[in-house]
Parts: sequence; C-alpha cells; structure tokens
Amino acid sequence: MEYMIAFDTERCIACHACENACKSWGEHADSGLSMRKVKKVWLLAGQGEPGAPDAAGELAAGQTQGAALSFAPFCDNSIKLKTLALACLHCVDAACMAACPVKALYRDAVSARVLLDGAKCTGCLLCRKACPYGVPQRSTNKKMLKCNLCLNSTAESNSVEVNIANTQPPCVSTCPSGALRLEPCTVAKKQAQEAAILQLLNISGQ
Amino acid sequence: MIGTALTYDQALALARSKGEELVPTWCGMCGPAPNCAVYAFRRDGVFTNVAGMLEAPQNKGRLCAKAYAAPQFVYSAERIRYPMLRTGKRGEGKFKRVSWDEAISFTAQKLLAQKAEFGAESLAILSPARRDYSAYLSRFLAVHGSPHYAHSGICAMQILFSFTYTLGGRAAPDYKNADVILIWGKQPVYSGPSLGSGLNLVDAKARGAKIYAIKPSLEADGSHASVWVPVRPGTDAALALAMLHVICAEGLVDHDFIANWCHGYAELKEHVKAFSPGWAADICGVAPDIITEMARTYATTPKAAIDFGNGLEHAPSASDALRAIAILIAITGHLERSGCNLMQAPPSVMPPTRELIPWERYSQKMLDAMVKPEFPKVFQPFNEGFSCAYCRVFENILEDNPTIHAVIAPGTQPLVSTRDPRQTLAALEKVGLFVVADTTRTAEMPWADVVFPILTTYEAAEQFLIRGSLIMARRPVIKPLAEGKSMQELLMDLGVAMGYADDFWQGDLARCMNWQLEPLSLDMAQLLQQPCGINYAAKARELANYAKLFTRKSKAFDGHQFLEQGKVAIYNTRFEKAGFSALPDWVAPAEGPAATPELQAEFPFIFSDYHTSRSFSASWQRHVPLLRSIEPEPELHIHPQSAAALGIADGDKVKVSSPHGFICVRAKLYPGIRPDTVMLLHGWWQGCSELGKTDYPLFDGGANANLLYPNTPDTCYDPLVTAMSSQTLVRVEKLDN
Repeated sequence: MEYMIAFDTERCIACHACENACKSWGEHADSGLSMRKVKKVWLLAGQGEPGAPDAAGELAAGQTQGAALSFAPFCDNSIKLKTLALACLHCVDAACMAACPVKALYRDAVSARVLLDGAKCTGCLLCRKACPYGVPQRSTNKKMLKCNLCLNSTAESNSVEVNIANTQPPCVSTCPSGALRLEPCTVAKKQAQEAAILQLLNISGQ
Repeated sequence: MIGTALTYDQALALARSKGEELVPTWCGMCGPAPNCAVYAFRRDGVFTNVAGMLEAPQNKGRLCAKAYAAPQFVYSAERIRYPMLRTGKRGEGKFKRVSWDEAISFTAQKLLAQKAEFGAESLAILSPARRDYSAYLSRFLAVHGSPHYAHSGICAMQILFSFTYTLGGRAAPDYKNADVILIWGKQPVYSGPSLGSGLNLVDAKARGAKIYAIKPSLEADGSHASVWVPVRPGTDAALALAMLHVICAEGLVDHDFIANWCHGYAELKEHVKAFSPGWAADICGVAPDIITEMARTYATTPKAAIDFGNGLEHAPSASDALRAIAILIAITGHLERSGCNLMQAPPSVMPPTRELIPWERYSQKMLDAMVKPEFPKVFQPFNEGFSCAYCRVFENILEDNPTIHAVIAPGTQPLVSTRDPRQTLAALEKVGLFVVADTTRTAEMPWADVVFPILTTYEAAEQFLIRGSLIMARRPVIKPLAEGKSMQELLMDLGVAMGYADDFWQGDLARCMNWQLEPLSLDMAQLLQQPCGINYAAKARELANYAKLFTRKSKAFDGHQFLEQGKVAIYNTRFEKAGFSALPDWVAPAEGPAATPELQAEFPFIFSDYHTSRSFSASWQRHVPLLRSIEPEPELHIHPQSAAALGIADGDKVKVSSPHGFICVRAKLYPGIRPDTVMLLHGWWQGCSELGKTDYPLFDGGANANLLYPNTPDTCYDPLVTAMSSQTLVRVEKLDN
C-alpha cells in the first residue's frame, strides 16, 4: 500500500506547529532540523488560476524603480496569499534518485516512499540541486536528510503496515487546522500534488 | 511513533517505551494562562518533550509552534535564577543575590513605609496580558488599599467596556454556523490556533462562507478570505460608521428587534447620514463600493458574524469603532442568533469557584484617590475591579507631585510593550521603588530595585486552572530551576509580610486553592487524582433572552444596570451623562494623513505594528531557538511598489523614522499590505545567544516599534477607554549595509 502525506493549502494557517513538532518528535529530531517547511506564496493578478502564466511574481524592486509612491484608495483583491507546509513528496519520478551518484536514495517497495540511506550518503548536495522543491537538507554530520513519513520507529514492529495503523506523523497530528493527512495514495494523486505544489513554487520564484 | 495528539493511555505507553515519565499539565507558553492541555515527558528528572492532550475539549490534542519550545524556555540561560537587590545605579544592572525572604522583607518594608507616607494609593501594579495570576494582582491591591491596577490600554478591556455598555456584554462570533464572516482587526490564526480558531476559519471557508478580512495587511488568515478590505490603520470607526450609513439609509435592519430592544435608533439614523462610503473612502483608503457591498451582504445574510479583535483597540476612536460594531450587530438582527454573535460561551454545569477579587474592599475613598483611570470613575469598579491606565502611570510619576511612588512589573515589560519608552525610562529612573517579577531576563530589569525569580508553570507548585468546561490541575514537571516561586506565592508571601496574612490564607497556596474550589465540592488532592481533570457536562445554551442580557448589573458602587433603558444603548445616555458622546463618532489618529497631512512631506508612510505573532508571546521568547528560527529578525512589511520607488530590495536594511525616533530593521517586500502603510511586529528587544543574535537597543537604532508613536494625552488616547494609538507617520530609507 502506498502512502503519502497530503497537504491542503486551503486549510494551512502557517502556524509553523508542523515544523516544531517535527523537530521535537520526528524521526530526524536529533538533527535539530525540520523536514517540513512553511512557505508563503503571493499570487498576483490571476496567477494560480487555471491557464494563467507561471511567471515568477514581480517582486523584484528593479522592475518598477522610479515609480511614484501611490496613496490612492486601494483595494487589490487580485492578490492572494497561499501558504505551503512543504516536505518531501516522494515523487513518482524522483529527480533526487536519478541524481544521486552513490545510490543512497532508493524506492521502498512496500510504501513507495523515497528513502535515504545515510550510510551511503556523501553529502554532495546533488539531490538537493535536482529536487524541484529544494527539499533535501544537509545535517551537521554532513549527511542529507528528508522526510520519510515517520513510519519506521516503533519498538513493536518493522512492518510498515503495522506502523501505519499505529502512527500519525507528528506534523500530521499536531496541525491545528487539519491541513495534513496521512493517507493511502495512488500514482495519480501523488502526481497531482506534485504538480500543484510545483506550480505554486514556480509562481513564487522559489 | 504514534503522533502528538494522544490519549492518556497512549501517552503513558509512549513514555514508558522511551523510559520516561508522564506529567499531564497545562501549556504555559502564551504566558501562564489556562489555554491548552498537554502531556509533558520527563527522563531522569529532565523535561524532554510535550504532546497534546486529546481528552482536553479546548484543544483536543492540537498544539501550536510555541508549545514544543517549552523545554528550551524552561532551561534557557536567560532564566532569572535567584532573587536580587540592586547595588549600583538604576540602569547599571548591578545586583547582589539575596534570599527570597530577604527580597520579600525589603519590598514589604518599602511598601509599608510608602503607605504611611503617601497613602496606599502610591502603589501601582502593571497588568500583564491575561494570566492565571491576574485576579491575585487585583486582590493584592484591593487588600493593600490601592486602586492602581494599571491595565495596558491596548487589549481586551477596551472591547469589553465598549460592548458591555452598548449590548450588556461581549459578543463572540459563531464561526461554526456562519455564512458570512467579517474578520475585523483580528488575527484568528495567531491568537490561539490550537484552540480551534484556525480550524473554524478553514472549515467555514470549506463550507462556502464568504469571509472578509478587514485589516491593513494580509497574514495567514487573509489566505482564506474571499475579500480583503485593506483599511488604513486606526480608521475602523469611519468604516463602521459608513456601514451604518448604508444599512440605515437602505433600511437593512431588523425593525422588530429595534422596536423592542434598542434605544436611540432614530438618532443614529440621523447621525450617520454624514458618514457616507464616499466620505469613509478618503479616510480609510478603501473604495466606496467595497464598503457598500460589505454592509449590504452583512446586513442581509441571516447568519453573519463579526470576529473583531485587538486591532480595534489601539486608536483614539477605538471605543467609537467598537460601539459602532456592537450597534451593527444589534440593529441587523445578528445578536444572539445562530451563526451570528453570541453573548455567552457554551455553559457547563460547573459551579463557579470562589472569587478572588474582594469587591467589598473597594471604597469611594480609594476611587477618589485614583489617578489616570482607565474608564471614567463613575463606571468603576468594572469587571476586574478598579483599573487605571498603564502608560499614564508613568506620566503621573513624572509630575511634580506624583501619586505613584512604587511600580511592580509582574510578567510585563513596559519599556517594550507600552508607548513612549523614553517616558517609561524617565519614570523608572525617578520612581521610589521598582520591582520586577518574571521568569526570564526582561528589558527593564537593569532598572529594578528588586528582582523576583518566578518559576515557569512547568516547575511551580500545583494549582487548578479552568478553561470552559474543563478544570484540571497544573502539575510541575520538574523541580524548580530557580530559587523562586509562582507569582501567586510571591503575592501571598508579600501579603503575609505586610500584615495581610488573613487575606492570603496565611501564605498557604494549597489552602488558597481549596478555598476557591469549595463550591465544586473538590479539593486539590482529589483533582490531582484526575490525570486529565474533570470535564463538566454542557448545559443547554439559552439564546436571545434579551430581558436578562440587557439588565445585567455593573459592579460600580451604585450597582447600576449597564444599559440604562434595559435595551441596546445605541444612543448611550450613560456615556452622555458622563460627558462623552452619546453616539459613536469619528476621531482621526493623532498622526496620519487626516490629522497631520503637513508631516507627510517628510514622513509619507503610515506606520503601525502587529500585536500578535505565531512565534512569540508579546515581548518574550525571542531568545528561544525553536521560536526565533521561525521569525529570526524584525521585518518591516512594505509593498513592493513602494519599496521600488525608494530603491529598496527585499532584505535591505532600512531606517524607519517617525517624528519621535527611529528604528533600523530589514525590509520585507510584502504584496499583501497597503502601499501607503508599513508594519512591524512589536516586542523586539531580546537576542538569542544560541543563534548568535544580540539584544537590540531599546531606543533609537533598535527595533522597538513603540518608540515611533506620539504620546500626547489630548490626542493619542481614546478618552473613554484610554486606548493608546498605534499609528504614526514615517519615512523609510535604505541603509548602506
């Protein structure tokens, strides 16, 4: 059975509880790093709508240099704010796996997660550069780290099936507004999530 | 790993699997107040971690970012470890260590000497944000004989007073049933997200509710709003009056409710003719058709609620805005109806505990001696007893013949949290006695004569706390790391040392707890046996008993009914008799495009500050790495086009100058803010050594938003509720790096 953590931007309130829950209870808590990061994405005039261009938002100061300060009555409902709580999406076509020169990244057959074998990792950062979401992080011991859905650590069993029944990843269980859900998934669902998040990130220019 | 929202059995199993012990208790990270319930974990006497308590009805296992930072907060090197007495000059920060008893004795002697020489009213205690010890502060003052409980003038009480004298009480939005929600000067996702405010918001949106976000800048709640109404800071009264104009002119009112339950509708209808949306547009900076549409939609949707908050409490027209909103709710038939604004929280069958505030001690003599009242004296005592205005205490100290000779700052930081830090500093240097009581180093500690270490809630002696229908013991997780006590015990010990032992249970906290619990037929020993406390059953909530709601009585000496006619006080005869306007009016912020346009040539932007944040509790916790990582630096939110016009790029260091001072912070290009407005989070002073960050200066060149505001009593305060303005005009200049 394949699993994913589904993220719903329509429910995210950017409270950062997921980050601190990961740092406190996640499987990489020892690193002091959060595997999930909150990001703000500003959608200007129609961006993010179906068919709208993906161009990076016009946040660069240089583009409107010299414009006069304008204090007319203002209301810009074309501006939307989307917030993301982004972690590894365990992509169907994982760019990190393809990029890793030592095969430290591999697909787990049971859960279809992309896992990282720290023993093989050399901290070369190629996975991070390849990842369209910029997810893998380097810890102080020079190994790369990323979300593994926190499915591994119970004393009782190494079986992923048993772990799923007994577990909620800390980010999922702490989210005050229910924006994160651990659920079975399909290739199509995963790809849809990958695309939706990619579109938002491209718009933000990140 | 089984997640962070656990039942008692799950938490216990998890603890055991890790070789740890479990302590069910209350979170203490938005200040010690009864908010969320947690499971704390301990290994070998060390506090390791926190998970959410699923059984707790208020948070149901949810936790925010701050909860997890508790161990870092508790073990921080910034903790005050022992009592201290000043040795050097005020401001030098030179202290000697003393015992708790010596510090108590020193303070008691000083206060008793001042009482003899200047009268008990010479003591002022600054009120922190709502805390589990707030009622004890009121009690201490009442027993001592001083009326000077100094409320902030920027929070909660301004709303409560305005609403109580208009509707009989506060009225909270019924998010779960609303089809239209106006979020007005409120940040529901930063204020207690784990208490359900975030969930209610996204659920409402998922249900298809139309949500208006009325505020100068979009934060995370804005991401869920259908409409952004970008009101200029401090102009909400004009917006509310314009909405009333539309609603009255078009007859979009509940005529029956008005006929039966409102006093003064005819006068209002006449009064608001002048406040058209076109008039308001120039002041608020919001297009008139937006105002009109919002007014019509709100008025004609049966299930429409207003979620108003702190952003409305910081302007000279604060009470006008709040009264106008209360009237809006009432005349459109949205008071005490499902999906609208409700005046009572869902009741439970829990009997009330014994009250700590000794109302019978309040006397006319004490009231006569009060200086700088928070509300007009004729309306005092109000809900928390007597109260004066925090910022104006410092004004009094600087007068030639001050009334106030001692200031106690319990869990509050005047140099960063109130207006005019220079006035505060001058007062702290002059005042006869200055006492600081806190868990952690504070901004003004170097000026204290006495410093009391307060234990965090994770170390302090057991107490009970109540939130809604839940009563639960707060248990210490670890032994005290400081030679200190809880704030309650400080006040009790001081009381005993000053001869008030009979009013403070001879200094015995457990007796004090049990005295309060008696009406519940409970004592602490019994309560401690319930790991998750006792959740009392809900009682049916009676809606729309206007006869009862509108005849609530005040605690003032004449026991007057809040609403003179027993109806909604649209035309407020009580305020009129006290010399204030009978109807809400419009007053511009003291410094801004309306009042001081001549300043705009040099200071073109409106400046205001954010009151709350997801990362920190007011001016605390900048030193906690888990929290500082979320928001590492003070950032000035500025519209990208405004920044471009000034040649400022994202992340540039900028100097922000008002007529009163300047700060140096980084610019954050922020599309979701008015182009004519810049905003900064308040409360920046403290560094974080673990992340290599040092303290910011408290005055020019730092990041203290309060330095920028004017503080002229005539123009900067709402005269009715002493709300202090948070608007000024600034210029923004790029600094060379």
